[in-house]
Amino acid sequence: MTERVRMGLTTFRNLREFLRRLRPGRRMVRRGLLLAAGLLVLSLVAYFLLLPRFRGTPPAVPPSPGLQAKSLDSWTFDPDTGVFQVVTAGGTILRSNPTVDEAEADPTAKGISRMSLLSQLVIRYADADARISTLTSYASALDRHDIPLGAVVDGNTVRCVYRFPTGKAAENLFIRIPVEYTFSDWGVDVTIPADGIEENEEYKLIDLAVLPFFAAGTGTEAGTTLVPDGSGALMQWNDPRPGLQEYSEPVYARDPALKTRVQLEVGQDIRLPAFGLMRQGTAVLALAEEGEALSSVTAWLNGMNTAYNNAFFTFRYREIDTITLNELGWNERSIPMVSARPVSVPAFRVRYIVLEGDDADLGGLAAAHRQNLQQRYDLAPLEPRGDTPLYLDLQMSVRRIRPVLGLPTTVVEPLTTFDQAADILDAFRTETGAPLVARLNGWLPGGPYADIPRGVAFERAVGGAAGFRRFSGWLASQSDLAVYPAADMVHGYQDGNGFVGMFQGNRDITGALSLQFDFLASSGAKNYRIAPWHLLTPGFSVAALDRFLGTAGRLADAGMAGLALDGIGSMVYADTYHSFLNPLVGRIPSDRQQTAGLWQWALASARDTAGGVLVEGGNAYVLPFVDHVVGIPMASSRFLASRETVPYYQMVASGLVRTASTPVNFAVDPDRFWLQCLETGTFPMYSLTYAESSLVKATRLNHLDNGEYTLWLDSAARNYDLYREAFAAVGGRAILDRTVLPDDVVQVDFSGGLRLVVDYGAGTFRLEGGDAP
Amino acid sequence: MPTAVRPLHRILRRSACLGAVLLACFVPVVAPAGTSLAADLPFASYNYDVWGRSVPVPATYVVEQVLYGGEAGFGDFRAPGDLYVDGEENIHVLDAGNGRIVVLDRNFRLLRIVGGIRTGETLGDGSPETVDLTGAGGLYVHEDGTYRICVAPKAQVLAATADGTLLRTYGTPKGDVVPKGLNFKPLRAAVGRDGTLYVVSEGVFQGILEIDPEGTLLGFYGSNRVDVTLQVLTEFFWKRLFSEEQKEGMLKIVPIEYSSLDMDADGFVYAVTRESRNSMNEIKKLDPKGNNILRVRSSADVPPGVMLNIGNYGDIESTYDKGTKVDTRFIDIRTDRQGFLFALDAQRGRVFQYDQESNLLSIFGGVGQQEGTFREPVAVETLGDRVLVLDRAAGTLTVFAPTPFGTDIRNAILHYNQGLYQEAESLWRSVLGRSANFDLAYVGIGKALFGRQDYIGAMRHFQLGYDKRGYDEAFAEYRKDLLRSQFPWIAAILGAAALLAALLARAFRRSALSARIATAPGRLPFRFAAFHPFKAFDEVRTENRGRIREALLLVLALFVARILSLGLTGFLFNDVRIETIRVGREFAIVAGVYLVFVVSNWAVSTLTEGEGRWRDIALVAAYSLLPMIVSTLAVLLLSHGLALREGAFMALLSGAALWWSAFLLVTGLMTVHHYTFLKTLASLGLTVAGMAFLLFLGALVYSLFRQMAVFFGNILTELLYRI
Repeated sequence: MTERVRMGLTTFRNLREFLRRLRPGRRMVRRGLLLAAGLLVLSLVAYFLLLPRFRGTPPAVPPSPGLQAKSLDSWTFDPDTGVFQVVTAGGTILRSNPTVDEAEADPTAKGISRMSLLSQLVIRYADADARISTLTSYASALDRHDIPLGAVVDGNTVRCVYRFPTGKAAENLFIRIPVEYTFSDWGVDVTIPADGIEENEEYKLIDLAVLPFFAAGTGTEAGTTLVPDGSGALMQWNDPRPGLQEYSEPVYARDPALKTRVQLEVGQDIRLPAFGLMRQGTAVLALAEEGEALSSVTAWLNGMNTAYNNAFFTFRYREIDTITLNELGWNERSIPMVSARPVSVPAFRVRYIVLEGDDADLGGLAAAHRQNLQQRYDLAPLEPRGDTPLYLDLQMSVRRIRPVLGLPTTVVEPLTTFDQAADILDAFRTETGAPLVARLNGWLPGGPYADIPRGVAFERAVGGAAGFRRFSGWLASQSDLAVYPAADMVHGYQDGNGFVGMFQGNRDITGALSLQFDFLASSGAKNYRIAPWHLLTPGFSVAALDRFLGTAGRLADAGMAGLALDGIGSMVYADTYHSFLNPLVGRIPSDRQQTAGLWQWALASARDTAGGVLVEGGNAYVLPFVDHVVGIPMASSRFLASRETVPYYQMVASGLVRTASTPVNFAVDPDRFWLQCLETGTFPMYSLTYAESSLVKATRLNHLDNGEYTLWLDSAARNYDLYREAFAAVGGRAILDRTVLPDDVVQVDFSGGLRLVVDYGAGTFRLEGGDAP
Repeated sequence: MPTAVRPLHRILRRSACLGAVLLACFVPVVAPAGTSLAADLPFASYNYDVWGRSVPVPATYVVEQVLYGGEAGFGDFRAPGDLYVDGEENIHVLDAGNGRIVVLDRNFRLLRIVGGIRTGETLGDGSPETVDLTGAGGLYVHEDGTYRICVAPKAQVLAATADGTLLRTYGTPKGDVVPKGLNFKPLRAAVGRDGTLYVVSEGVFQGILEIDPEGTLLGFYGSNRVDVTLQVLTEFFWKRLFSEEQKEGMLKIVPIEYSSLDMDADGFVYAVTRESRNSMNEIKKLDPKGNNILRVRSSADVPPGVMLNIGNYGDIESTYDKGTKVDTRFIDIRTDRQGFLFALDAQRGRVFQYDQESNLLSIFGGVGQQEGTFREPVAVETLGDRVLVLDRAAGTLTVFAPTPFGTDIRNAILHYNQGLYQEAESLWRSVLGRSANFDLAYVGIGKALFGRQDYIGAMRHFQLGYDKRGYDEAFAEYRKDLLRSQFPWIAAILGAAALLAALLARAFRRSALSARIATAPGRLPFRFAAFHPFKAFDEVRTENRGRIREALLLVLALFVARILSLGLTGFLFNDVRIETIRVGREFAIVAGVYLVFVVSNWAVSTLTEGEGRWRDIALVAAYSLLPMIVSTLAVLLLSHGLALREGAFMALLSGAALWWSAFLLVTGLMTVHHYTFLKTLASLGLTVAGMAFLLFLGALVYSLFRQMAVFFGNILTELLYRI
């Protein structure tokens, strides 16, 4: 027996002695205490036994089959410099980099930018103190003759390894990055097997930019860069305007698990991991196909950093974050931190699709993108359907503090009860005649911003189970009505209700909980009037969804078309926290790409169980797994560097997924917004309540400040009447081309020879060709 | 060249490009996913509720175009300093970096370029000599078409003709009133009707300089008074005691400097101050005497906590960065023909629109790289109902046009401020139809409904808009109508209620329960204690009457009454927001004060030969609360039936109850301690001192424990984070 055990036993005996000596009158107390302790232990054991755990397998990343097009003629690869070039069918030469002479002649590029002109990879790495350095393959990995690329040509595939010397030269420490090019008739696949990346003990790779200057436009060429900013935006090559800034944004938005101090800017997120470089007769579409959730898109114009117009993907191999001490205080300090472990994707892959001739425009890019998606996920194109649904987003309840017997109490107040929801749907059916797709929010017990639901149950304030039964009965007598009750399995607002923040809250690389804050619109500072909330660690989030789906059959039986899942269509975050307790509490560390995989699993199983899925936001990974995407980006961030906002997202999604707009009632000009919906083949959505809007004043739902449905019924009916035929004609069709004409007129070509001309100035439209009515 | 690598590294590490190349990937430009707001605006559109909390509202102004000089065909602007829209709606841009003035018509077509301000001299090569306008930041176009240009680096204000011929130069002004060491750095200028030149100069805290055509300083206009704050007063106090050296070391409190001015058609001067220490009155409308006549709500009319229309211009919410307050910093102001004010915030690139009553109507713009956001905004102008903002760093002229929502607000306010409430109503309804968060609209509709004698509707809207005065008037009328029309019913109901209460009371008195209570040994009936304090408290002392249980019940009753009154007092008399009530805190106050009083009085009485036991003191203190409990509840009931001007009656009631309670306490203590009256008062004084001492001790212990708790809490948090 060791000393420690003996001591433990002694303590135990002493405790027993102590309890025995308690006077007999205290026996009850003693028993009570023992009972309580026993119950506590039992309930803890039960808690961990009953905790939902993720046991599924996220859908595998499907391989990307080649395309049919024949747009490339030949390719050459220089094993000494790593530079390759492809010759298109039309004779255009696209090089991975400018020539040395051209780079020398660049009047703008300095330092790193100058070196990156001649590089295929630009990497950043950190030392033990998280000091970050940048290396270019040209200056570091090639310019030394003692480091060969070791290029191996195997048919149309070239493999090579870049060795980046890190730290001081004497240290002789390297980061090795293998790169694989596969040339084909329609373009180039560039793969970086992430599991083949070798680091050293001292220096850690943070991220790598891939082919920063492939197909870049020179200072004299005319062309445009498509960036996936929101719906999409075009940057004009050699834009003469002064002071423009580069475009650089993470795909699927910044990781919300990372800390944010101040948030003032408002803009659109990247939903599609793509960019395009278009010049006369030739265009290149770049798609991040693997590891895209870890990538960001950067686009430069002539004069920003170099004299070229280029765009590229950067892949994050390690998360970096900062720990902020004394936030907002005079002695605020930020300590950078680099994740100990790299991300665990098998590879980063970019597909460059070269388009020639008539296809070398926005419509061509979108078509190639759509075709690629379709082939990869084996998606059936939508039937061109005659129906033109109207989407309604119904907010059913709101949480508010009210005096109950004078005591401030959080109460759930109805905004739309189940009966009233039926009234709204009925009114819209009668007034507009449109088939309706409705999402119900805030029907779960506690209303919005409440618990992580364990199963299907109904908030009493909106009618409870009885109200739902009536609603379901009413629904059964209706046709053309698809109702999707919404559940949020991502945001944990009420700790202890369906989750324990400490255990299942998402954590960042510093180990801290990824608390989410509301930010003040005025100062951008954290709004401490609203308590911060948790993101659930992705593994637990999907496990909780699984638990919830156990009872979701009730919804399907009641005639609901499916389930709406909040949060997962618009954000991915990483839980990079490693601890031996993880298996106990249900945490599965996952990087953003793995999280996207988990979300896909969630969508697929929700679709299986509930019959259908509707999500909001529409990040690319959801597209193969959903029936409806609402709230797709209808605008870009309108950066000064971009010339024009284009509906690239809609063009890609058209004919493939049913999409609905952001709420019409929050648009600056609702009537124009309807036209825009029509132009982009996007069905309009309204965000509504039955109760008058003043009820959301001074609540967390105060952004729904004009949702009273009677305010919008007439204009919806009027507009729907105007556009019904046109929507029916374009609904489900792919957008092939889009041309902006003078005087605010846009011409859109849909599949089947249908042409739509929208005159925003006059507020009118015209349909031509095809089977136009 | 292996050797070339290392120097390159060193260059690169220092190079600014390093940041530009890839670090930027990690600098978030757009907001993370969160709310599902339709963000088809590149900047946040918000306003403030009456409590000064930002609330989302739809866009009031949107970008119509962003004008680049190069694109428009007259060359890019370089560090443009100012912008002026003249009476003919021609736009004059002071393109300082290029040393020229660009004149555009209202459709932004080029009218002419004034290629420079010619001195009339010729240079060696025969070209005319022009004034170097680098750093020029103020442009004023006089009615006669002549320019006034402020060139701060040269300490000059130039007067020039419309074609750019220099008329005269105002240097540092002369005259008797020029303060010693005046550093003349003119930022903005305007010319009064009598030809007086008004100049805002950087670093001049006395006010706007009034300079006559001869270049003599006439005086300072619109002198900023020092805002009297506690800090100013303490500083004043210390200055009296300090030596000269010590005074030198102190932070100087000076009036705040102006940053820009604008003159309207009536000759009123609108001026903005860069910042003021208490962030109040940053915008001023100056009458010819230099008094600020921009209207705000009088302080008597502002319920506690209300933050609108009190002279706090710009952002009401502020934040801190590295310990420094980040607040609105107004850099320019412009008033349009209808009297709307547009003030430009250099801190966050926003334009704030006010009316003549200081109502905040809209906020738009921002800092950034997007349309409608700015890098270094320097000037704001209006062109019809459009708003122009000049960005010095980006060299852009951004044109904002009002949305239907913004237009409705404008028109509604125009009617509303003239008292045309009925005409404004439909506009206000349209505003509310776009946003339930625009509080002013509720008040507007409330006034219209009041005018139509829909008092219930008016009350509801005034309550939503938190306008107590309006609510009060509507309520008084409503009550009058109600009493007039329903008097028999009301009287009957009240009578019946009174009768019922009397019957119930009688039934209770006759009940067995009542008898048991009455005969319970040692019980001290409440009514007896309240109306016969001498006798009652004597029996507490001598016959051990009264029970601690009941005393504690009374304290609890006070707490409950207090909570009820905080939560349920009628709208007119309730200044407490429900979400700010902390039940625990209220309980701690009531129970704590009671406990501390008892302990302190017991301690004092032992020292001053008081004969009361602690039990007696506890009973006396609790029974004395009776009138307060009853009055709190009575006031709570009355608050639902009285109008504001009858509030005095409630105050009277509370006051009387308080005196009664005090009377009970004094008699009680006198009786149980066997004190004289004066001695009772003295011991009470000592008790209060003792309470203060105890509170001080408590605070000390509290802060100690708090620090300990925070320390252990941090350790715990740290542990929890790391598990």
